[in-house]
Amino acid sequence: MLGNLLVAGSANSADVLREIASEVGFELDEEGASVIDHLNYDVKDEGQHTLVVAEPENLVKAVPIVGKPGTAPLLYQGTGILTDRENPLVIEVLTASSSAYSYNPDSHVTEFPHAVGKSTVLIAALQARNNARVVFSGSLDFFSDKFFTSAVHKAGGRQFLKSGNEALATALSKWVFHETGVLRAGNVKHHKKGETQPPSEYTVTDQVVYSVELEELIADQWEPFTASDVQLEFVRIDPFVRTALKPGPGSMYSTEFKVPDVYGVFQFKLEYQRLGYTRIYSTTQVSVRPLLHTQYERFIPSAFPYYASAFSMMVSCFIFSFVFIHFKEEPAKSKAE
Amino acid sequence: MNGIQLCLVLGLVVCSLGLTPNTFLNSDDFKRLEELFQGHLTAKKDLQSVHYAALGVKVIGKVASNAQDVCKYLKSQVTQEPTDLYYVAKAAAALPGCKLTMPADVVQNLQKSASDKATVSELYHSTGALLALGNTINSKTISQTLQVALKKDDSVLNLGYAFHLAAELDGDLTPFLDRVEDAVVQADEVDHKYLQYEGGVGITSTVVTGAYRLAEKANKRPAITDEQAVKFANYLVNRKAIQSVKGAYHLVNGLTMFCTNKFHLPAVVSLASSAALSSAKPKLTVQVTDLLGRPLPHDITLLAESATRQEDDAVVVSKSPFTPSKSDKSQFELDMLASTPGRGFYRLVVSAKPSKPDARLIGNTGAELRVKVLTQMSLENVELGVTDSDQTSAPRMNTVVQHSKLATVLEADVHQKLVLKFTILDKQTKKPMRCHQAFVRLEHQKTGRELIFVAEPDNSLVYKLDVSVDAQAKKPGVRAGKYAVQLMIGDPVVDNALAWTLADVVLQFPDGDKADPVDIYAPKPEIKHTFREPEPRPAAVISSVFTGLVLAPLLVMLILWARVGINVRQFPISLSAIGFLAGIGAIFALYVGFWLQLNMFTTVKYLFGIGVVTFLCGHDTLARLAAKRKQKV
Repeated sequence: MLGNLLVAGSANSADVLREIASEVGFELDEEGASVIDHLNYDVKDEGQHTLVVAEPENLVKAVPIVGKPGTAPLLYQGTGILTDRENPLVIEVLTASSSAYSYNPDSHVTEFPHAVGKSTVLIAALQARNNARVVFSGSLDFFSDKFFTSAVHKAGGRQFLKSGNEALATALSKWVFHETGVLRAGNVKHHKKGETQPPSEYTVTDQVVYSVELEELIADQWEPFTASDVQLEFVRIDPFVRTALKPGPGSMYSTEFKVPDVYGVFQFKLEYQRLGYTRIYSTTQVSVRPLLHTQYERFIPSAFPYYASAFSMMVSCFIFSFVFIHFKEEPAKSKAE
Repeated sequence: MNGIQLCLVLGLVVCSLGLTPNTFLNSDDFKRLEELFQGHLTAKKDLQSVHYAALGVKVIGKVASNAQDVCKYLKSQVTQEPTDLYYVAKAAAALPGCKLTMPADVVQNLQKSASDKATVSELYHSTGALLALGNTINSKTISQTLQVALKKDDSVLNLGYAFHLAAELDGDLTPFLDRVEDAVVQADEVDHKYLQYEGGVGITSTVVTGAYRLAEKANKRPAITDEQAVKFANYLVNRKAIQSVKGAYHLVNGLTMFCTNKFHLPAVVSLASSAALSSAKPKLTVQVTDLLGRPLPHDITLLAESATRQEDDAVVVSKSPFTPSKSDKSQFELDMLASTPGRGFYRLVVSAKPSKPDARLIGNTGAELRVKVLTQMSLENVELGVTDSDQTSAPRMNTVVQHSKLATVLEADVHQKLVLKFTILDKQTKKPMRCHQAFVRLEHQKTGRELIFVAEPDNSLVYKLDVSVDAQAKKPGVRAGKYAVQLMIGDPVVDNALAWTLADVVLQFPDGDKADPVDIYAPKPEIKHTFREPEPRPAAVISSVFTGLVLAPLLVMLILWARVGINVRQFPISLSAIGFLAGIGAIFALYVGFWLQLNMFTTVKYLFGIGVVTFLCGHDTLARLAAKRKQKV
């Protein structure tokens, strides 16, 4: 998994950074534009209210990306990022508060700012479909020793002895370089219920058991991954069955379902995509065939008259032909007598 | 004196560049650095970090909390490697009461590596170790070896090492002192403010401290100009948040050198109060210190040369002296608001003049500080109303008083628009003013989604905003419903920025099919396959009845035969007759078997066998019967 990027810009970002940003679905605000917040700025601000205090509530709710949420606010000084809301892969990691906007602090606001309010993104991330990760911060100072060790004192607000920058930066770098939020699937098994080996093909309405192992990379070790929302699909172009995979024991997830009464080439499809985790995609192809002629139901009660008529015919034929051949006619006279 | 003239000339340059360090190591920084050093001394992760931590603690004038422990650790780290020995010896020398006794072969080895054809770095480390261990060195040979080594590789770091090493030597030091200029010109300048070497604090500090040490030893000014000295100092002090122990040691060492050497003493002019001045806090406090936050050695007078408003370059203060603070010798105060400068950003140029001329003092004139004068604003004539988009009727405006909320909920549909007007008054001048942020925010009460608009002032600074409901309805994701109208006013020079919810408005338009964007991370709904229903079947009773009906004829036949009294007396007891009868029975039995179990091929196989026997037997039996019948007739 190559191609992970951690990029930090500033109010004066070079063109190459802007190009990278637009390649990955973000846009840095114009040259010279800074995020300004007249209501949430730190007392150490140098006058323009560009040393913004971002609340940890504005962080994306995804532990793998931002770590365990702390209470200390974050210091941010830099430009705003615009994201494409239509792009489902873009993650707004940290957004500004409603009172923020991104504009050049030295000129009057004559045009509508590119980023206003909560849509001003401070740190944006993207996980591409090949699981490559990008984190883009509009503030280089966010990662500086100065901000890491600095106290946070929001003007007119509470004071915190240490900003949350270091914790967030550590979590972000771990995420972006695939140290957290990495999952893998393996050991896919499927078989008919009551058996242990996969059959060469399934028959419609078979009861099938599917299991897979999901593991998460924690501190360079693969540990069992626990989640309750893993799903399995049984797909022939469209999914015919989508069912939950039950966790346990260990890293095992398993489920049991009845093969639909439709035959063809099917896939067991495991697709698990959750915010902050790598995407898991595993497919196993199996074929499902209709019933053999011997597998249909025998001795149907409704058909008993037919069975009975056939057998009664055979028995009658046997008895009648025996009697007909060997019948000895009694002399008729005796009767007349 | 030459120095003063130089200072005056440079003063002009400095003034135009505003070059004075504006920050120093304050008590918090010292505390943090000490924690860093002590932490590394306790952790004892590796020799290098212990070395730098021990030296760092000493430079900031503190004592290692576990000196004995560290001493023991250092003794355990003695190897034959000159670099390691240097780390051990230097650190031990920095610790109180840590005496090292080295085996003779170690010292010999050091002497050997110091006199061989060593590189500058090896020479520096082994000689440093020898000196720290209390041995004497031969200045002449080392000086020669060093010059040879420098010819091979005179990278900046090597020059730095050479300066430090040469400072320990006796004799003619000019060959090394001459290289100072060489090293200094190789520094990179950043933003016209900093001078640094690629490699950061460590190498920059090594070169600069080496140059000063060498110059002091030779008692000759180093080839570092005042401006360069200020830029080096500026760079170092701006990296004060450094977190690596090596960098932290080099930082404090460099800054200490700048405060203690005989040639340059950069003054730091910094703000001790907030840069924002308001009528509540009209006093500007400026602090003049050295880089370590100590007062300058002389009494000084501080003069505000000028204060210029950034917006229009209006000069509001010129040549006014600061009054020294009573509580702190290094602090000076100025009531900048005395001249009613008005709101805005100001560039304040101050100069510190020592009571006695001091050639060492640099960066003390033309220090530039950025201050701003705050004001309070109030919102006046706030009017909010709904009117038709086509302007046929006069708008009905509701006046809202600041900090209150309109009692009635306004309603607007697609043919209408929302109109808002207001004026921002500067409370001090009572004149309308322009604010950087004058936004109106509509927040949907259910979804929390916000719509933000920028209100723009006309020529008379009356802010006005029209929000067409129709235009909003067309935006993707915008829903109809109740919105809170919030006015957000802010400016860097306004003390009381606000976000004021002044009314509620209901926007009415058909929502249509605005679907929420799909969350690709959410679990999908479950799908259960619907199996085909089996075809309905008749009840079991019906099939039982019909089974009975089907069997009835056979039963009826048997009953009637029993009544009539049937006989089979003509049955000949012969093998062929029995075989024929058994054959026919077996054929039927085979059919039953076929139905239950057998497949067609086995059935045909069996049938062939049985059929032949039955045929022969049947032929014989029937022939006999026919013959018998003929006889009778």
